[in-house]
Amino acid sequence: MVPPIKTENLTKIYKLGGKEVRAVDGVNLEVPKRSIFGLLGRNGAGKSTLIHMLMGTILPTSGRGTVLGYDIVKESLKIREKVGFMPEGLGFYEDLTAEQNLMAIAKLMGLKKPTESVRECLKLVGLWEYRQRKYGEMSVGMKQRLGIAQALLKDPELLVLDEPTSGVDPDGAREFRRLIQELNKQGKTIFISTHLLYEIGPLFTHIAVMRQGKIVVQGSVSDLKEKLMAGQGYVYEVELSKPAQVIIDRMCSLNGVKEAILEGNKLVVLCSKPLAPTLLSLLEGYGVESFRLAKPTLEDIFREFSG
Amino acid sequence: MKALEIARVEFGNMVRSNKFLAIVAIFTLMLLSGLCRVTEPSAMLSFGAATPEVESSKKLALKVMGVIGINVPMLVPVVAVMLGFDIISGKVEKGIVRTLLAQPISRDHIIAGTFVAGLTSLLVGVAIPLALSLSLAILLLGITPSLTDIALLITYVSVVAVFALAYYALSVFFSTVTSNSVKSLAAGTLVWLFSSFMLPGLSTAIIRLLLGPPKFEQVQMGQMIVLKTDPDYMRKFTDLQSKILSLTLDYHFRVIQDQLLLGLGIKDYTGLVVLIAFSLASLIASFTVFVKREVR
Repeated sequence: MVPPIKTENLTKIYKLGGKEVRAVDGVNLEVPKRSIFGLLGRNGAGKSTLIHMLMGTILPTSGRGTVLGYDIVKESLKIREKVGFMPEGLGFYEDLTAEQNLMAIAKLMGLKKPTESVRECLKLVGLWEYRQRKYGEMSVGMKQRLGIAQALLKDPELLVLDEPTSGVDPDGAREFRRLIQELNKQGKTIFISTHLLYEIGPLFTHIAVMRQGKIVVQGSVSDLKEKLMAGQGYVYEVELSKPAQVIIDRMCSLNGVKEAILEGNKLVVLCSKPLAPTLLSLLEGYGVESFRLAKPTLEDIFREFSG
Repeated sequence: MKALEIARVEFGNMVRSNKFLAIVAIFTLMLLSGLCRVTEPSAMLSFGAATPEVESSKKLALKVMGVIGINVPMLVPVVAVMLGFDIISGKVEKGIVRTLLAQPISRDHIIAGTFVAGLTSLLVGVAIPLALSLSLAILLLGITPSLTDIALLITYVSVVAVFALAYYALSVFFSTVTSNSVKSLAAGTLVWLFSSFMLPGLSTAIIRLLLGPPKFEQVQMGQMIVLKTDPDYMRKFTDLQSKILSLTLDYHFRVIQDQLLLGLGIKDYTGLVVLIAFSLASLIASFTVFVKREVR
């Protein structure tokens, strides 16, 4: 099965003031079907350049790539016909209403039933009530939603969204998360670039972290968390009914335990490998009230790899 | 077809904008106020009956052209620059180019559609004020133009449209190259100010530097002796001034306008050819720059 997005050594070099800047540097990316894929990285990491190359609006300097099986250089119009794309900083005609703007795009795409498609998309993004409002008079959140609506017009199997929540208020971000989950349930693959992890981070099933034009890590979120724990260690947090200083020495003598700290009734054990059953048996009789493995968050992964 | 669809949408957006409505309203009022002066009684004409009826029996079109011809070389470039300065840069700044490029549309479709919409809005922006002001003048002042008058006025409006097109194309070029509306407006305005106001004055200084101060000769006129500028010096002065001013678009328009005002029709088409060639070259340059540019 062809992955929705696949690149091999994709590179873009700009010349700025006589100096070569490698905006995207040998990127190998594979986005699984039906995933919610997060392309993470700080501002200027090369995320938008990569996305524009995938959509064919920027030509790569070298390397190759396919989107939905279409070549990003030779078949870019076909890609944009099939993929719902919301670029960063997109805009519409200010003196036209939300509905007029979407109708114009629907006609440009040559949709067979533009009126129905526009109505469905406006309802899906919650703009139906505001369809007669001029774009120039809409709030930032409404503008973003209109941007998503234009990407959904063609009912695409792949959605590519570049920084979709920048400038959106918390309510708007929550609404966006709900929409993305609903679209993913319908079987769509969703590729999102962002540097705002707290807003949409929890949605991602897979991520890739970009740093200075390179993909430094990619994979499923659960695998990456596992990987990070294997590298940094497994942290177990235990709450005891009473302080038990005596347990610390026994803990530290176990093979695989790096460190054990007792703070009041709370015990924190750092291990180099998973040791949950061993620790639990050792703690028997000490009044364990709670026992949990502190998993790294997406922020931890991002911080570890984005530099 | 995609270019035409873009043109349709863009034109709809343009004519709904406050900027377009303001330009049309101001241009209409300026022309109307000029036209109202056609029937203004002058001391010479007041010996007879200077009523509108008598005035309209004269060569109305020539009078109208004479009156609005004072304002047109000043106003038309402003209208054209105002309509064109943000036609590409505005779209880049507002993210509309990005939205359009997110669809299966190529850059040449976008710019071709923009050109068609822009040129249509320019024609409408010039034609509506002229038609409105003339209609109002006919209604308010009771002037009835003859078929010859109408033909002459249509010729004049066509020449004005070509002149507007040249400034518009220049403004579009600045808008495309800079991708910045403020810079584009500044560049367009600067060219207009330089062509209309600065160069005519500067040309005199340049010629004086080249030819030296004017030479005079004394001429006996009856009992008076008057100073007359040396005809040879004047001829050289006029030739050089024409050469310098021919670098501007305004000069070529004025040459055609002067021919029309003399009531002789257009005898020399050089100016018209220059304006059209300039417009085409500017639009082709804008097209090439835009199509080759990548999203950043």
